Formats: sequence, structure tokens, C-alpha cells
Amino acid sequence: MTGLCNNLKKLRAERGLTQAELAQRAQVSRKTINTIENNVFIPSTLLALRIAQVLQVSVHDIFQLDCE
Amino acid sequence: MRPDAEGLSRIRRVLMGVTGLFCLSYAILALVLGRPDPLPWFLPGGMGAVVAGLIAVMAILAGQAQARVATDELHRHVAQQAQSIGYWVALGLYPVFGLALWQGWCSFPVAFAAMGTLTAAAYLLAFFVLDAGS
Repeated sequence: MTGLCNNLKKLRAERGLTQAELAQRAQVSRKTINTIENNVFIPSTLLALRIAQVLQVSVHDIFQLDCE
Repeated sequence: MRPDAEGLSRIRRVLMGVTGLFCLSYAILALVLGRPDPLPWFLPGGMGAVVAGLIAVMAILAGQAQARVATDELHRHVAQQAQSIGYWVALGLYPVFGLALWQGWCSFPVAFAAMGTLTAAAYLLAFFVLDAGS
């Protein structure tokens, strides 16, 4: 339980990107994207900003503290 | 053949896992046979050096961009977790082998060989398990 949840999978799918494509654009491994989507790994601020930049959204659109 | 980032990660995981198993086997053999060199003494360190060289060569073959992806922050996180486990296992070996030496269950040379290889095995196997599970 991290208290942090994310919409990464949904936002990525909306843009028609695969995990591998997003990983390539964010310059990380596909496994890193997969573990973030599954709430296994919390990315650094730098990576969160880079992913947000790739998806052209704010970091707050991807990550939230209040999980339902 | 140029490995991509995933291939490089897989090769690294397997090589480190095999080296960890070898170190663990060396330690078990040393304890069971009661001798510090159940196999030629230079094999654990030599295998570690060869594997480190192989991983470096594979990283060079993969290219800088792929090597950077293979050593991204998830990899660093996993490596740090494995180091943490290795550290505590290494510390835990001191009281265990202190007791074994005090009770005369093994000699100093055997304890020295077993502790050294078990310390390496703890990090390498922890990395293998954590990396495979992440």
C-alpha cells in the first residue's frame, strides 16, 4: 500500500500507445512502465514529469493521492 | 547480434543468478566437506569477474541508449533492495559463524570461505529474485 494511485494505463491507452512505445519515448524499460501502472514501483519526480510530458498531461492527471 | 534493453536485462539477471547459485554451492560444499577450497579457490571470484566483464561487453554491444534503458531507475531500485538484503545477510553471518566457531563446528578458514561466498550469493540471488519478480 503506497497511498498513491495512477491513471497511467488509461491515459496511455487513450493515446493508443503500447507500454513499449511509452517506455521508448520516456527512455525507460517496458518493465518500468508496467510496474508503475500496477502500483508496484513509484517513479522519481523526474520520470513522472517525463512521462507526463510524453502523454502531454500534468503529473497530477496521472498520479493521485486519494485512491478510491 | 545486438541485444536490446530487455535482452540485456535478461542476460544480466541470468548471469547474476547463476553466479549467485555458484557462490551458494561453493559455501555449502565448503561447510559440508569442512575445507575452505572444495573447488579451486579462485573460481567464485574469477566467475564474478568474468560475468562482470560479459555484462559490460553485452552493454557495449547493445549501445549506449539501450544500456541506459537497461539501467533505468527501476533497475537501480531493485539493485539497491538487493544490496540492502546482502548487507543484512552479511551482518547476520557474523553471529551465526561466531557461534559455529565457538562451538567448534567449523574452522576459521572454512568460516572465512563460506562467509565470503555467502555474502556474494545473498546479493546476487536477491537481485535475481527481485528483478525476476518486478
